Amino acid sequence: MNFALPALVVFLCLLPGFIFRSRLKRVESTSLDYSPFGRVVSEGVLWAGVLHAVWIALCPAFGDVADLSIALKLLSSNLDVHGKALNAVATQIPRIAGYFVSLYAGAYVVPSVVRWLITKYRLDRYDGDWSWLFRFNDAPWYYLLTGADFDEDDEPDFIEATAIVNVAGEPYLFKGVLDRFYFKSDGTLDRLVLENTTRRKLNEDKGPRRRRSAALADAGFSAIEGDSFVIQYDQVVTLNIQYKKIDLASAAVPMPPAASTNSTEETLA
Amino acid sequence: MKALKSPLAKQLLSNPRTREQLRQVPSSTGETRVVELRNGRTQHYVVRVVPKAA
Repeated sequence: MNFALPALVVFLCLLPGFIFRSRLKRVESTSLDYSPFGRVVSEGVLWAGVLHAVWIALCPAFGDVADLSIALKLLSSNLDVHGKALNAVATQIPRIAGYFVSLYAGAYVVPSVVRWLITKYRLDRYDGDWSWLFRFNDAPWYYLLTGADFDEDDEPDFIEATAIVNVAGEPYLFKGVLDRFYFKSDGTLDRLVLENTTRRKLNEDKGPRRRRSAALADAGFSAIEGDSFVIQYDQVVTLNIQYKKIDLASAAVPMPPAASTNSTEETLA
Repeated sequence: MKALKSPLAKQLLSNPRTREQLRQVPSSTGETRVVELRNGRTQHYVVRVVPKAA
């Protein structure tokens, strides 16, 4: 069996860079990365170079020295040089295997930890000192719907999503607390899961009495029974996002009069 | 992916009475809504709209 050993060696050497890159980046696509090919390759090769430099520098700490000449000889087209390099590899398989296994493990674990630290300490916030380096620019929905751009002290408690959806040719306004969101393979939003959902017809906005008061615009919603309400993003005409904060009231505060979610007519009357 | 939701919001949403009150939260900046949670003792919470961070 013939196979291109130099190509295999290059592949094994570059692979950790691509593993590292894919684990570090937060992108909103599950199966496809739409980054330009040149960027993917250059980042992968760069990370591979960095990882090899670090691993080679760490070898003496484990009582070993990486012999780079063997790797270079494996890439040679001279069969004599190639054969000697293969013999050298054969005599130290456990060492080389240890190097690559630890390198691949590091390429998987290290970026995962780095990404966790970036998220935990919010180093990627839009106004953070390190956002130019750590911000995941390929994940705009992540920042919009998880509150990752807020300072920890000012973080809202929940997100209220209001979506206009056409139901049987009539536009309805659906409003609820955003619970989860899912992406399609190409990185676009697939569906939103709301809870505590209410709805009303959008056409009711056209009534002259409703336009008089913003408070009345919130009335007239009918509660949708159930724990989770799923909206397919393809069917959403427009989506409004509001961040809401809950604070413990410092003193006794008057409660607003109890209102039914389905009390438009009583409120208007 | 999980959306932003604090433990306090989860607690209020798990209670049928406060869940109902949270439906009445105003959508305009500056307006507030008081939510009353009776869970052994009565606690009042103020819910308000906050602007986007960025």
